[in-house]
Amino acid sequence: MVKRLRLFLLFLVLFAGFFVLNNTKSPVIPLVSFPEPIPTTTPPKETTVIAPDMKQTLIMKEQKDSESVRHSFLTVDKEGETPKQVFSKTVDAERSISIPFNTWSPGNKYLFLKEASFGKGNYIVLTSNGSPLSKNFQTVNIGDLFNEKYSDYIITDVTGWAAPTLIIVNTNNADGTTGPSFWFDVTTLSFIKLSIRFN
Amino acid sequence: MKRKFNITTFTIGIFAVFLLTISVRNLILSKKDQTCANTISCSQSFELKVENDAVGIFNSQKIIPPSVDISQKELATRVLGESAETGEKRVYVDLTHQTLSAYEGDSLFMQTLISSGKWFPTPAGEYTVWVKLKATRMSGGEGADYYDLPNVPYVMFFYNKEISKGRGFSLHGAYWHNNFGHPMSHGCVNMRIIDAQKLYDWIDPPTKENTTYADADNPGTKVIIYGEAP
Repeated sequence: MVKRLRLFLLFLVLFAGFFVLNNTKSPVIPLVSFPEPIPTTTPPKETTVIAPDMKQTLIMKEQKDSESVRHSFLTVDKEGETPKQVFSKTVDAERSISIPFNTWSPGNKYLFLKEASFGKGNYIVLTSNGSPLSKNFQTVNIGDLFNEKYSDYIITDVTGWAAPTLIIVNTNNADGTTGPSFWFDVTTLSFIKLSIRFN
Repeated sequence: MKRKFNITTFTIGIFAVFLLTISVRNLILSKKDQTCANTISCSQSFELKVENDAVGIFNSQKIIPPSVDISQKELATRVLGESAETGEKRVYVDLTHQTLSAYEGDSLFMQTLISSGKWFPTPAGEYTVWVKLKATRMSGGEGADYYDLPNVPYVMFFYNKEISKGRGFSLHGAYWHNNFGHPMSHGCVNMRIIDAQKLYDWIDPPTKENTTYADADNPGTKVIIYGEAP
């Protein structure tokens, strides 16, 4: 009798242990599928510059990825009108294009932009309606044109417009001393050396 | 009989001629210092003048001036609600950095780049606005420097004891150049039109008409000009 009881108890313990063990198994985690992360593009950064006479607006949109930045430039005459793209350029991540304070020409026919690369600046001139600047050029790079003609001077900055078609270009001499100022005439794509400094 | 040469008389004579020369020179220079900021239009620039069909000249280039609307409706639309601040209004023009800052009490109303005098220096000092004009014509200079500019917008003439009203120094909008942040003018303080309009609508005397004079009841705002233009 005692023997049977012991067997029964043993069986009970074994059964209970088995039961407990079964219930302490790692919970079954239902399979959940995680979707692949969708690469999201950063919304383009927008910069707006109104013309000094308030009659036009320049909009710059910057779309960045890991290696480059695409700059798009649009102009619009009146609120509510669809902006018109007048220029775009993609530069690598080390460069940048910015809108100078005096970007608009008097009368709003032209714009100039600054492209910076490794601390050096170059300046792009374009029309505000996207039409070619001249017969052969959609836009013009002031630094490239200047360097072709004046190897004795180095452009230090381009500050603004002296008149509707004249951009002010300041230089240093090759030895680093202060050089002359020039006017760049956007209608003839020529430089006029001045006897006075403009900065 | 031969006259004896008197060295003392001779020396005094030379000294007198020298003093006379210096006096004449100083007189000429002082007259030059009294010229108007706009050497040709001068006092004619103190009157409202709107010429919407005229063509201007600057740096030997023709330029089309902006049209000016002198209707009272346009004036009323702009002036309403320009500033809710209280406190004394003051305008500071920093010639060294070519900036303008306008304050009402301790609150900054606006700050922007300007162009002060290049062909003739903008004089430093503390001034008061005496008249505001919606637009006028300004002309001056000579040769390659000659300019004739109709519809100069938002003109705020200022003066003090040293620089009289007749000298014609002012803050105003400029449509003929965009080189703000650098001296460009013949003595006045040039501003972008958008900035000149904002300042004009805020500065005292409060705008009532297209020509608004300051008086005892509506004194002009103080304009403090300091520093040294580059």
